Amino acid sequence: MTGDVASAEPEATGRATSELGVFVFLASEGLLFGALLLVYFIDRLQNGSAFVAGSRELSLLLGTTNTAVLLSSSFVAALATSWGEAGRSRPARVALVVTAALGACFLGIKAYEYLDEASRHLLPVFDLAFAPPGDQPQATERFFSVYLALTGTHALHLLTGMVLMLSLAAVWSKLRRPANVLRLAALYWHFIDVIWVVLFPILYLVR
Amino acid sequence: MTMTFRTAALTYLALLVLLALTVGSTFLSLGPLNSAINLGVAALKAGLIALIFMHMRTLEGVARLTALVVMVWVGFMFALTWIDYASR
Repeated sequence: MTGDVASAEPEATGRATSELGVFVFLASEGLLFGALLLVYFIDRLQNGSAFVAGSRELSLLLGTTNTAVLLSSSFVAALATSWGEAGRSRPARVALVVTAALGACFLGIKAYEYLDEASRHLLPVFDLAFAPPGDQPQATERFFSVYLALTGTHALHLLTGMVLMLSLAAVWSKLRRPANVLRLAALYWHFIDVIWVVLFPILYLVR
Repeated sequence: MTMTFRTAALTYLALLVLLALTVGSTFLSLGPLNSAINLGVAALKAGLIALIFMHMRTLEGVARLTALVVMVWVGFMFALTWIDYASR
């Protein structure tokens, strides 16, 4: 009995320590997105009406679909975590692959959106033609610049999350405590979801 | 500690209902209330994901402090920048 307690304690402490590490990392990520959101906030104070006009040019249907896709991926990641902790390796690994697949679905839709916006001359990047509708192109350019910075940074994070989920599913049986690693990876995934939940209304719903 | 399927499913359902609510509200012209609804719903959704999916409900000690402190720092960053902007 005493032996059980002694061997269980370091594991619990180890898990708490690694979880703290992830939260510190996520805090720094929070500051990164916080700074980008601050740029959005100040730009919007200066160019309120252009931000409304810019937001109207984005596809509400695709934005809403993507939000639903990402919320679903978080649900599946949560299931993966609890299956992993219950020792059900196979469903947990399948759920990891499904989570990554939903992430890929999100990125596919996002890429389609970028292409559509580029073809309508709305993206001020890579020397693409920029000719937004409305009479204040400079202010509208501010909206699309922040839009690109915010969604681009988010997409890079999502890509990292997908690699993380797929790698974990691949090396699952080689890990000593895969459920603990999954718990940490899922924290990152849910964090990316939280970021999108904030980005969606401030970019797509300013109508 | 482990989240039940029921908890996860109910959270997911609540998130989808909130999404429908916020998108639906954009079709009504409510003036400043539109922004308030959008930001309120975003906060609720983020809170549900953080508290339940990221199990921050059961977080203890320094980890909980870390999660809370980032909100304080971001709050400072926004407040100080806004004060500078507004007082020019």
